[in-house]
Amino acid sequence: MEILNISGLTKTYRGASEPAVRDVGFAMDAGEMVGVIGSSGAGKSTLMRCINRLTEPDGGRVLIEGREITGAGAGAVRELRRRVGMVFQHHNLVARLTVLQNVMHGRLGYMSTAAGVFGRYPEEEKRRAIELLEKTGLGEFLYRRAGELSGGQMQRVGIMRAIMQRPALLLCDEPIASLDPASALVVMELIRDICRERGIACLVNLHQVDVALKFAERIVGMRGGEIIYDGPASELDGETIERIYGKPLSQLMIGGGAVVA
Amino acid sequence: MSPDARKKLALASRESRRAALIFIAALAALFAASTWFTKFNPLHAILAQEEFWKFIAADFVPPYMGKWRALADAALQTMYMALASAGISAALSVLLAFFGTPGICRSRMVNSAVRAFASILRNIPALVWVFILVAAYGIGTEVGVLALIIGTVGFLTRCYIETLDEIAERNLEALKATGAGILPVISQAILPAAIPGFISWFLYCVELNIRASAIIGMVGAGGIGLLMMGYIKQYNYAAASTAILAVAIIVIAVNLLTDCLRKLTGA
Repeated sequence: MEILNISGLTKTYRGASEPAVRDVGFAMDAGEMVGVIGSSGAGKSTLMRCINRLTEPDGGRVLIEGREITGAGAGAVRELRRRVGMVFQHHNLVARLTVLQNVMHGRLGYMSTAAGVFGRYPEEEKRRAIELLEKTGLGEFLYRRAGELSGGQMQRVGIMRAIMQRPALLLCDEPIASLDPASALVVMELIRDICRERGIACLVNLHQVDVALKFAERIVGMRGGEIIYDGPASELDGETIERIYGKPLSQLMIGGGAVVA
Repeated sequence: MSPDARKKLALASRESRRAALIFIAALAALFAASTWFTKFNPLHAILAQEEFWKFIAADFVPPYMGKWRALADAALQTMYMALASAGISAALSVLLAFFGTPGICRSRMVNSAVRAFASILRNIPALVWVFILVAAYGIGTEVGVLALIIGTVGFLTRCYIETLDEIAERNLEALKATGAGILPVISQAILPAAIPGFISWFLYCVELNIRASAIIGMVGAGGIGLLMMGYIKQYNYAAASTAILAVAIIVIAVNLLTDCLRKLTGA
């Protein structure tokens, strides 16, 4: 089933001479994991943020589960966003609140304004959150302040917050860019496993080509705001990587050098 | 290697060093000129202290403690003024700050209007407000509280907007992405994150207002300032000096207390 369909997406920031994203189009099916690679400024984050309209695109269409989010009114946008979880580079948790409170934030979009304002979350959702956290090895941190956790643990909490939304699509914007290699692996495995298990389509922006190749079955390569590669990870060759980054492979640090044969 | 190994190496460019030098020289000249025009003579200020100490020794010491009852009442009034005005101002400022923060209230016009309003309130001294308000409401603590609220709202609104601005950047976006409406996001994420900042600025305002309420009391806003001014007008400097000491003690005590509260709340 088609979860995401983008066509002709364009975004130029105010004051910029070149568009950050130029005529981008692709589609994603349920359960698919797509890695977006490209150098800084290639438009990866802008593309992602245009999908849930955290950034307002200038042109093009974005359909989520067949419903158009571009041009939709505020109420409809909120409703569509519930089906789109987002994981941020800096996890964006509320440091002073407990892990459980942060995870429950994922449910706010489903509640009435009054229930949301007073934080009256349904009991069964609270139980679900605790279950999720226990399964992720965060069971002992339920009532800890999120700010006291390690970077990797915070990112896992951020992922759980998104999963609480019961999303059809998960957007991960550089989820491991500020993590040490060991935590990065744990976080990437968690994202992959949880999306596979629930049939969630997952779009993940990555700096590291080797990580993208390891975890994503499909790669989207961006350069200068345009998609210049969209295909299976297995068919991404050295020459294409050079085109995406605009540099010879010898000048790109790719884990172990073994990935690109 | 460098062409001349013995030459001292500069760590900043010649232009930026010259600019810094010119800036400092200009500043020094400005201060010197300002001092000249005020006819302030440091030598005179130091040498002519005799009169000052004579005045203090003859008239202010020892402090007259006979009217401590009236003094205690007035001191309490001053503290009530400070606390009431800080509390009411904090509540008003939280509300205003939400409308003044760009990430939270989307209308640039409303943002600017709130900021301009706060700026006007802030930049007219409480003393001036008292003069205006006394004409309308008469002498008393009511006027004092009102004047303090006006100034404090101006100050706190700006501080609270800055507090919210920092938080809004990250948390607001993450929560908006879940499809939550703005009100639940404010109550469940923004407010809890902002509370330490809110409390910290609030406590600072309590300190400011204690001092300010003593001063505005002198021009008719009641409390210990009014009492002190009365004594001074009667040339009863011994009693006035007790009032001055009382103000100092209250200010120090409140500072110690707020420091303690800050540690407790982690603000």
